[in-house]
Amino acid sequence: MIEVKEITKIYAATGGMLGQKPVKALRGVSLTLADGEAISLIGESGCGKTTLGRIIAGLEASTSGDLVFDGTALSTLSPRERHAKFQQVQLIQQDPYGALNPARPLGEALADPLRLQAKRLGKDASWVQMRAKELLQLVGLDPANTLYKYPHNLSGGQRQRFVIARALTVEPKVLIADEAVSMIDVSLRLGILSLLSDLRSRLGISVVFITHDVAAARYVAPKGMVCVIYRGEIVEYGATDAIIASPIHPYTQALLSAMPVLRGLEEPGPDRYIPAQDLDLRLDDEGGCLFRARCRFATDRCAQEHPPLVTVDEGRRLHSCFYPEARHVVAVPIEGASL
Amino acid sequence: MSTASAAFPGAASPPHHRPSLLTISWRAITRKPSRVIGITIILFFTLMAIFGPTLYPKQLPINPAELYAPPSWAHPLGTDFEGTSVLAEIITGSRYVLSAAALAAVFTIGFGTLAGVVSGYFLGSTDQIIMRVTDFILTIPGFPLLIVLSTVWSFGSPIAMGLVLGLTGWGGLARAVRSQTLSLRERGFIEAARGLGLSNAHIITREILPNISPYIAMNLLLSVTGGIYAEVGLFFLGVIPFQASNWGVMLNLAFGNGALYTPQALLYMLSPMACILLVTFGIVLTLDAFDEILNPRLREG
Repeated sequence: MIEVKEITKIYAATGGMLGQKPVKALRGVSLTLADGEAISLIGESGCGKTTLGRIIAGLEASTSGDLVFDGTALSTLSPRERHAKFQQVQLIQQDPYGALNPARPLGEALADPLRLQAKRLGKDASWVQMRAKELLQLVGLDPANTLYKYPHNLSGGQRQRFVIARALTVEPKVLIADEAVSMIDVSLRLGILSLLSDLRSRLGISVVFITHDVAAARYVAPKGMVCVIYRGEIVEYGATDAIIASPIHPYTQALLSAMPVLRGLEEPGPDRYIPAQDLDLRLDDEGGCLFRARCRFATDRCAQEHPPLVTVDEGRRLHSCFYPEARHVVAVPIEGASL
Repeated sequence: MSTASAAFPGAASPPHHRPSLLTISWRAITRKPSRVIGITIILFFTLMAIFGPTLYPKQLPINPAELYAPPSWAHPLGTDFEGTSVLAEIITGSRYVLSAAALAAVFTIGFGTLAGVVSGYFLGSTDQIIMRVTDFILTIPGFPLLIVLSTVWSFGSPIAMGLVLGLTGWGGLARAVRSQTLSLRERGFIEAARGLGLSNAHIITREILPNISPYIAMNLLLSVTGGIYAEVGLFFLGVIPFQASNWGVMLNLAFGNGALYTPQALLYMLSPMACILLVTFGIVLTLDAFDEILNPRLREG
C-alpha cells in the first residue's frame, strides 16, 4: 500500500531577471493506493499529474510531504533504502521510442535488470534466460522474434509492450503508466490497455494510470478510482463510474464534456460545458478557487476563500467545490438510432 | 493475452543469431570501394610499421659513392645525402611515427571520453572540477608546451611521445563527449535504467557509451592523423633531439641539407610527405564506415 501525504512540488523559476514566479506543480496532494488497486489521475496538460507519478516512482523529489510505502515513511529511510523501496514502483513512460536504448539489442535490455534480480534471489544465468522469455510471453511478444532485435525493429505498440516487460523484471508492486498509449498508433492502443488491466488482475499489480482520456481510464480499471487534478490540486476523487455518471466539480464536468460525441448515435449530455478560456497559469492563484476564472458557476465567495476537499457519499467520494451539484455531461445514446 | 500470443505461431522457430562485429565490419567496409581502398592503405602501413623495420639492419648503411642517386632496383626511391636508401628510411621510420600516433590517439580518446562521460553524467561538483581541468588543458598551447617538455624529456620511446600528445590533446574531445552525454542522460532509457536499480557504472558503460561509440571511433582515427602531424612537426622543427630516423627527422634533414635546392633530392623530400598524406587519406576514406558498423540503425540499411 502506498500513501501519498501532502506532497507539494515547486519548481524554482529560471531566468530570475524576468521576475518569473516559481511554478507550483503540486499543492499538497494526498492519496492512498491499496495493493492491486487502480487509480487514474486525470487532468489537462500541466496540471501536475505526471509530476505526481514521477514523485511516486522516485524519479523526482518532492518539495514537501512524504510517501509511505507499506507503513514505512520514506523520509525516515537512508537514500540507499529509499532507492530499494522505489524499485517496487515502475514508471511506464509516455514515449516508447525514447524509453529503449537504440544502440543495444532488446535481449540485453531485458537481461540487465534480470541479472540484478537473479543476484538478489540467488538464481543462475539460465533463470535470466527463462525469465526473459516468460516476461515477453506475458506481455504478448514472441521471445524468439524479439530478443535479438533492436528497438527500431519494433512498432510503437510492440515497444510499449517491451517496456512493460522490462518494468516487470524487478517484480514491482505498482506500475505507473504515464500517458502510456498517447504516442501509440490508435489501432494498437486497446491492446496495451487490456494488457495493463490484465496484469493488474493476474499479477495483482496496482496501476496508476495517468491520462487525459477518461474512456481509457475506465477501460483499464472499470472498478477503479479516478482522481481529477487541476493545477496541482485534487478537485474530485471517486469511483470511475460514479465520476463519469455524475461529476460534481465544474472542472470534472468540463473535462468530461470534452469527450467526443458520436453525433447521430449519441447526443451531448444535457449539462455539457466547454470553458471558453484556456488554462492560464499566469493568473493569480493565491486565495480562492483555482478554477474560478474558467468556471461558469463562480461567485465572489470562490474568489475569496479556497474551497477545501470535502467528503461526500460516506467517504467514497471527495470534491472541492462550494456549490457541489452532480450534473450529467457525458453523451446520451439516442434510442433506436443507427448510422 | 491468449489472442496476443496466438498471433505468433512461429514461437518455436530457432533463435536468430546476431552477426558478429567482424562480420558487420566486413559488410560495412566492402559496401563502398572507397572504404576498401582506405582500409587497405591503413593495413599496408600498419604491417609496414610492425614488420618493416625487421627487414633492415639497425644502422642503415651509408654509401658516399651514391649521394642523391636516382631511383634504381636497389634503391626504388633513390638515396639521400649520405647515400642511404630512402625506401629503407621510410620503412624503418614508420614504426616510431605510427606507433606514437596510435598511442597518442588511444590516450586522447581514453582521457577525453572518460572525462567527458563522467563529467556529463554526474554533473555537480564532479563536472565543475573536470571541466576546469579541461579548460586548463584547452588553454595551454600544446605545441610550445611540447617544445618546452622536449628540453627535459627525451622522446626516444613512442610511448612517451604518445602520452604527451594524448595528455595535451584530450580537452576538445572531453567537451564534445560531455555535451553528448548531457543530452543522452535526459533520455527515457537512462531514467528507466535508474528506476530499475542499475548502477551508475552500468549506465555509463552499457547505456551511454554504445550511443556515442561511432563518434568516439571516428575521433580515434582522426586523432591518429593529428598525432602524426604533431610529432612530425616537432621533429621537422628540430626541437626534439632524435636518436633514430623517422619521417619527421627525414624532412628535417632534407631541408637542413639543402634538398630544396637540388632537383635530385626531390624524391627524398617528397617520400615522407607522401606517406603522411597517404595515411591521412586512408583514414579519411575509412571514417564513414564506422558509423555503419557501430550504429545498429544504419547497419541494415
